[in-house]
Amino acid sequence: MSAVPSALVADGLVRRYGDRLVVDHASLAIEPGETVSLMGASGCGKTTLLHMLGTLDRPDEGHLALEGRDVARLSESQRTELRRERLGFVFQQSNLLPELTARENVALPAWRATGRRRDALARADALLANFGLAARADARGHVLSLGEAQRVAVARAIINGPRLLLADEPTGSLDSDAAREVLAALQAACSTGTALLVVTHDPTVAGRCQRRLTMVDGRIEIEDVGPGSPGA
Amino acid sequence: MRTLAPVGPGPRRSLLRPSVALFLARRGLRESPLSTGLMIAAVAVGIGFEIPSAANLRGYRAELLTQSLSNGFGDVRVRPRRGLYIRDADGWAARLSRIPGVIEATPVVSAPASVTGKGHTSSFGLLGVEPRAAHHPYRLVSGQPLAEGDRDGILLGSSIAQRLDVGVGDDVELRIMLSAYPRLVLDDDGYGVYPMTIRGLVGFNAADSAFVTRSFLVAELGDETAASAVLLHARAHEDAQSLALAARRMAPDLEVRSWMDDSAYLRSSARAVETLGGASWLLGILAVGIPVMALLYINTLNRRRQIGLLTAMGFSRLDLFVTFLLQALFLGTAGVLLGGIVALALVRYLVAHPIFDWQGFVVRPVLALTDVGRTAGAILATTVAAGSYPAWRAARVDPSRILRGIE
Repeated sequence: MSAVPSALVADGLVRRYGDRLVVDHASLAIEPGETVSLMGASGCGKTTLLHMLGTLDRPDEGHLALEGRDVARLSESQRTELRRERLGFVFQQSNLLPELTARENVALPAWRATGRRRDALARADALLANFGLAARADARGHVLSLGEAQRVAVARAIINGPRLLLADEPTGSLDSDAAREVLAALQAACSTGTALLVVTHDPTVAGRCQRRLTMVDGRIEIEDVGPGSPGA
Repeated sequence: MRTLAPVGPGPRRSLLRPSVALFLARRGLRESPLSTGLMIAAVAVGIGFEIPSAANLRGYRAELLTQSLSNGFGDVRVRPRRGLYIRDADGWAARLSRIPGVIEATPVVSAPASVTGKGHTSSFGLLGVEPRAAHHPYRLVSGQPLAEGDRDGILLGSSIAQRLDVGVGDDVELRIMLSAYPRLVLDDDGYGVYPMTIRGLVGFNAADSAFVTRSFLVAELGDETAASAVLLHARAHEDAQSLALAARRMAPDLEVRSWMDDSAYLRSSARAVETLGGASWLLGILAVGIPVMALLYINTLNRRRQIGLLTAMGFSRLDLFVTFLLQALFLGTAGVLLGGIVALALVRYLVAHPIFDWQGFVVRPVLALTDVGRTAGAILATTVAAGSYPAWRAARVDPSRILRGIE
């Protein structure tokens, strides 16, 4: 038994919307620092599963543990705290708060977590510089390109040092150059031991992950270990 | 790309970061300048309308009481229980004026009379008044007041003057019906007939009356100590009931009535004004609360995506609730300040240009700090209350549905 708990263990997760079974007994585990892709046809339940794994939605059945903590036993405020301090999210588009600059967008979770605005802004500046966005720090979301906005979103997702990064088609709206930059940003984020689960339709993105999962009609049916996997 | 060392959050954890909520609230409002402007305008219009409206009603009530009491028949009226007049009325007036809260007690005497001028005749109630008194049962609208010992001067009600087509300085014939005083020796038709000069005109409540000096009238009645009533003027009109009680104890043989008991019309009018004020106030509150609530709710609906993102970032429901509630507080405060300025400007204008000015009855707004405070406080509270529901809804947004674009 490993001393370090898995970043995520999901067992038999089920989610229904009315009579419709959207996620059908999905099970998976992700180890710290591991990168995993989740592919599947549109509407097969990928995003719903991602939201359950990120505690944004509650499963109707099944168990979910994040870093060994049973999510079902957490209170609402503990789940909020978990999202704030242990999880990071990147969505496909409209990721940024339009009323804030890139710098403020990135700093916001850290400011919320620590209450120290100046530290949060300094940390945001460092992250933006690292992602080649220092010159765009004071730009608001609507003047950033899609690729820049997604990299800002990645910076924001990792500012609190999450243990698990959940990305929902982060390159879905981008051209190939921008997608490459975002992918590089995500991989850089994972270089410090953060696990990554990325929902994608893009085989290139999936190919950069250590493990590739495929979802069909709400079930995880295919698991493919890539060349970068420790177990390969 | 340089590898970043993870820098986690500090040890301080809380359900709410007020500074972050404040920041987001301010930025959220700046993001939607049109709806922010409309909401501030809604609050400002509410305040800007309500304060002058309340001030006008207060001014109307004050003028009504002033005309009817200070320039009328006093706050407490003391009359004979039997007979036509009070003997030793000056002595009673002196004693009654010592009741705490009474600022003046003046005897008046009345008789039915008529005036003839330019071939027209008009009948009315004639009152003999003390020229030296600070309070008189009329307000002079033109001409001069009666002088002490004036035996041929008369103040004529403006309506009577209009009917007779006479004015200040004109001579008229006054006929006083003295037959009610049987011990007097009168001419055959029971009238005393006197040539008089109009010294001045009086308005509003006294527009259908006429006034001479009491000394003139009581001399004609044959009893220089007589008065039909002693009128008590109070420091505060609302104290009339308690002053009447004190006067009743002092003069059990006389009939003592406060203005509330003596004038059902005035009492009802004052109450009606208060009721109108309350209704207007409530409408003002609703007129602010409903549009602000609607606009804040629409604002919340438009920001659901951002709410979903904030939830994903680890903002608590309390964070979201407080953020949206602070927006309502901002709007309320800005609207109250702006509306306050508009209201004060409007009140100043209405003081200079009264909404009603007739026969000396002038309605000027009376700005009371209690009205301003009550209205501003209530509208601010209404704005915050109206913002509470959208804020609550914001805190209850299902982030998963929003982020998936279902809602």
